[in-house]
Amino acid sequence: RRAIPKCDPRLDNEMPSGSDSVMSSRQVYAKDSMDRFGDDLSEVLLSYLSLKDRFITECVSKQWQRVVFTSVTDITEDIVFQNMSDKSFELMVKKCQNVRRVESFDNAFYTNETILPNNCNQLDSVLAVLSVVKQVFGNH
Amino acid sequence: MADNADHIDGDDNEDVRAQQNLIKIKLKSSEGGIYECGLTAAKMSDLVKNMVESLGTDAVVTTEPIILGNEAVTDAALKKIIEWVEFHWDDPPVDHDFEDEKDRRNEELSHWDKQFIDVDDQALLFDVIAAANYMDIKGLVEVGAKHICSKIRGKSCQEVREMLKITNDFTAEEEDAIHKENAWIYAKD
Repeated sequence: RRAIPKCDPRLDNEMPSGSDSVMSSRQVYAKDSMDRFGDDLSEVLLSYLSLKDRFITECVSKQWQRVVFTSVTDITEDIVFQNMSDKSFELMVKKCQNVRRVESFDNAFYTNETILPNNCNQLDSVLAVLSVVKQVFGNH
Repeated sequence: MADNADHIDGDDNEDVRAQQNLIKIKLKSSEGGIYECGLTAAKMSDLVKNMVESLGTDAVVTTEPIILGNEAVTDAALKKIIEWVEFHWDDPPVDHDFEDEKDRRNEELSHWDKQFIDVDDQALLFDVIAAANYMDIKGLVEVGAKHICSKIRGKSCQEVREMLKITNDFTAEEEDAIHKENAWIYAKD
């Protein structure tokens, strides 16, 4: 089933270690397989998924895992926060590195304020997020 | 950039856009097929737009076909793409205001777009998406993305792999570990 050369093999700068050798060799993929798409296009294609669907489908493939969270900028879905421990919250934040805004805290048990700044790259945004967290705490 | 091009692409000049679309240019697929397309419609592709503008005058492009060399631009894919741009060329311009952009992203596809993109042949669907990406037609890539995401909705990893023919390159242990990390997503309130 592998017959067609990959059409968009542009490499990202920030590939996880270990995948470089796989990606740099020219691979061929079936035309009806989503494996044919490069990271950039795959990221765009998956950017319309709900946050819930992103977590449910994270383990589809390594490429999928690499790109499925990069387009998450808002975390606003109430369902996400149901029954969520600090540990789970930390893991979630680690995966959504580009998040700018967090809203709708149903459960206010994220007492560890270091979770966000320790795990998000976008520091300004993290501060904004933290202020939201603090504001929510202040109201409880 | 030529003054000519700026004038032609003025958002406020619907008449000019309509007139320009009466000019037919030729687009050549990677398989060699040559297809006619209205100029305004064809310029929904930023790639084609840049090629046309680099040629200086629009008159040149009505004779020589524009060659779309990417292998995803098959005859079938190019025909689909021309169908899409010929339907959408007079859409109102996209507003990039943040809130509007967000609304647009959350908006469901129109009935026409849904029917257009609901292609049984997945190789053709992926050719259309890859070709639209190569030709830099953002609106059409978005239609493809929304379609794929709507099909993924509610499916498990394995169902998604089967549908989109994705190779699972995780070991069973790695997959297990990810499932455990994300177990909270299945919790009911």
